[in-house]
Amino acid sequence: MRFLHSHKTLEPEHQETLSRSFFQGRAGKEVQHCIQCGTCSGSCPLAGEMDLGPRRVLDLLRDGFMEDVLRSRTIWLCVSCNACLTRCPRGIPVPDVMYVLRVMALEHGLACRGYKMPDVYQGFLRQGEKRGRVSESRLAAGYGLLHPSDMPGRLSLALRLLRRRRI
Amino acid sequence: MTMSDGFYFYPGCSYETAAGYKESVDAVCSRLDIRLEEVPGWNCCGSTAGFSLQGDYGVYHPALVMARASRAGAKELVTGCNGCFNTLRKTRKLLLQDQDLYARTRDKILQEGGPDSAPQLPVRHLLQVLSSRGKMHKSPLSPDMSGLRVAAYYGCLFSRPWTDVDDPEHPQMLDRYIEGLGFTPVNYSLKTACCGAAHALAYREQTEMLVERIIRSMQDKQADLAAVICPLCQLNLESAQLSLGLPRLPVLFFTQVAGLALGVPKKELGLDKLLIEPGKI
Repeated sequence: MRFLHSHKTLEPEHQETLSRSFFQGRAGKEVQHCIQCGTCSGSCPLAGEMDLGPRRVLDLLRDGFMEDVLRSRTIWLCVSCNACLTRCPRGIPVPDVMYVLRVMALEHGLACRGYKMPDVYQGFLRQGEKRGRVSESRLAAGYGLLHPSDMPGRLSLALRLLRRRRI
Repeated sequence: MTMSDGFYFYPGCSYETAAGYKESVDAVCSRLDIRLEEVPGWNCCGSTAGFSLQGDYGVYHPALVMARASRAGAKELVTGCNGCFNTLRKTRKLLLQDQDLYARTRDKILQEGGPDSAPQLPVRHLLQVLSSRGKMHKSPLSPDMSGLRVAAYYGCLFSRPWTDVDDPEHPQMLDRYIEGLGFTPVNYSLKTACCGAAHALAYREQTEMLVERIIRSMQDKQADLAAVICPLCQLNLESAQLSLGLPRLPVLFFTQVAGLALGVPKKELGLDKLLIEPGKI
């Protein structure tokens, strides 16, 4: 099997600890029931954009390759649409698996570099905690400061929304 | 339906800025004699960001919403956003099945100075509320509208597991509602396909691809317009059409569609806020 991340930094013991902690949780216990049928990856709207895809994530988890999973883009690309959960013959809550892995990846500094969703989520929650509610335009502006190269493409939408009093 | 029935409305963060959602909900509800009282001092539900950064503890913010509503005397919550709907219903389920999570969540709410009331309530989507009053909508459509083909778009979170309110893959509630109003519902296959949700902010190209598939699938079945039940679906479906340069299909909130059928003047429905003007109506 060819792995995407050749520069391993985690000691095997560390991987084992992470693995144990994952499988003790609600989502982790469910992963044990996976039959590797691939319905999740077949149903995922963004599987084509992923490095691993959900089926392979579940497989690698059970084989203990925590680092490969935690560094992957796949865990951040999941949009939480629940299509996989709807169709999984074993009822595995795959999006919840992704959430647990996201928390773990951030906690251990393993979240893949250059991936932007943690910034979106953190901006969202920070604003929610500070102001109680979230404004989409403020969220977009905060995101724009972190990722200015994404902004030119967004400007025409912002102007259109502004013109219709939606910002 | 009034406050005295124990129904409280949770608008969610995207409600006010959504294209004519609030306007049309107000107009339709006032004509159907439904009074929507807002949850006092409501907070953001945290959406998928909460679960993504806190795992199951992402239930804290939605639980706080429900605790605040319970404190105000709510017996049930109503929301018009798929994200809020799914988050709140999922939270309720998780709290009911996990006593430890329930206790911890309640403790945290109290620690942070939140109300000492049950952090879980039954939650309904506004579509369920209006559908259950379908008969009250009866009014003959004007001839220029009766032939309109409307594509019901549910998005991904309305009927999927955690909510369990309709068939997860082939929901019918919005189709039947549209039919009841006198329009022709369009039978197309991507009613519950994902619009890309919040990923549209960071991964626009990838999510626009998803919207293109959905819009083309509606147009292949000669839809004149799409009816949606979630503010983020509306924004994504509409904005991607413009940036991709697709043949344009107006995307209206289901309450705007209902307002048209009820004969509400267009000005009251906030149709001027849509990025794609509904020319035919």
